[in-house]
Amino acid sequence: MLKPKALKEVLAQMTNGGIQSTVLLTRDGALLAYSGFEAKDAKIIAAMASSIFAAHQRVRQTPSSTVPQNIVGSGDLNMVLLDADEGKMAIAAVATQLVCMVSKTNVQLGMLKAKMDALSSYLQEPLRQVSQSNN
Amino acid sequence: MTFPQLFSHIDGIEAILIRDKDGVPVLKLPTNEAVDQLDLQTLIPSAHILQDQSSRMNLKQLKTVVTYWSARQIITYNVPPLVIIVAADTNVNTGALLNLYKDLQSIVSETLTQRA
Repeated sequence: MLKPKALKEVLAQMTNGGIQSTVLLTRDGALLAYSGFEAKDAKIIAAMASSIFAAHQRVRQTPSSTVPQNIVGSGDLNMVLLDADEGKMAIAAVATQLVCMVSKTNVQLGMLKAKMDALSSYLQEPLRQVSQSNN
Repeated sequence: MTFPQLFSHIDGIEAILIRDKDGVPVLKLPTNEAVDQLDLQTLIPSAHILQDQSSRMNLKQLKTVVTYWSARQIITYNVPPLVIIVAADTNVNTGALLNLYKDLQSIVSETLTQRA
């Protein structure tokens, strides 16, 4: 079982040092847990993160049957890092869920990736167990 | 400096696709075949979606996007009016690739000034 309070505490540990929000969501964009922004904003982030990740997944899935394996997007998509004028964003796949972090511009992409890697590996096993028990 | 020179000192780059704002390929490096084989063109719709989503999230203008796949990493540079997509091996230094953004900006602005 996932404990919502414990999950929120884990996300809160990551939400510091320029990280504005950390959100755990399902692949179809439903919010599971969040830290940082208000619930309304977290829902928007969840929807956007899901959409961005799905856009890449579509690239992978569309030509799967006809195109050779060495095309761009063959294999698993692990992480997406976005660097924009007013902030940065990282989205990573963790088991069957997604984790998204939004940061200010002063956070370096390497730090964002390192935090995301740490969070992903920490949540990987518990979320995998939950997804397995659901199947 | 030219586009091929800019990337020449980084080992492990598999292919580069430069396209204009309408998605029309402008340049394919190192060869047309290398880019076509990787099917880099399929990334174009997602580059548009990313820009759209970025604007909606109040992140404003998107500069770079890095996607890590199990087999390779894809870096997309948004340098209006061009979009530059680089496919590289997972071992390639991502920081070195990201640092090229400013050089790309200056090359693109020089090229556009010359054309004008």
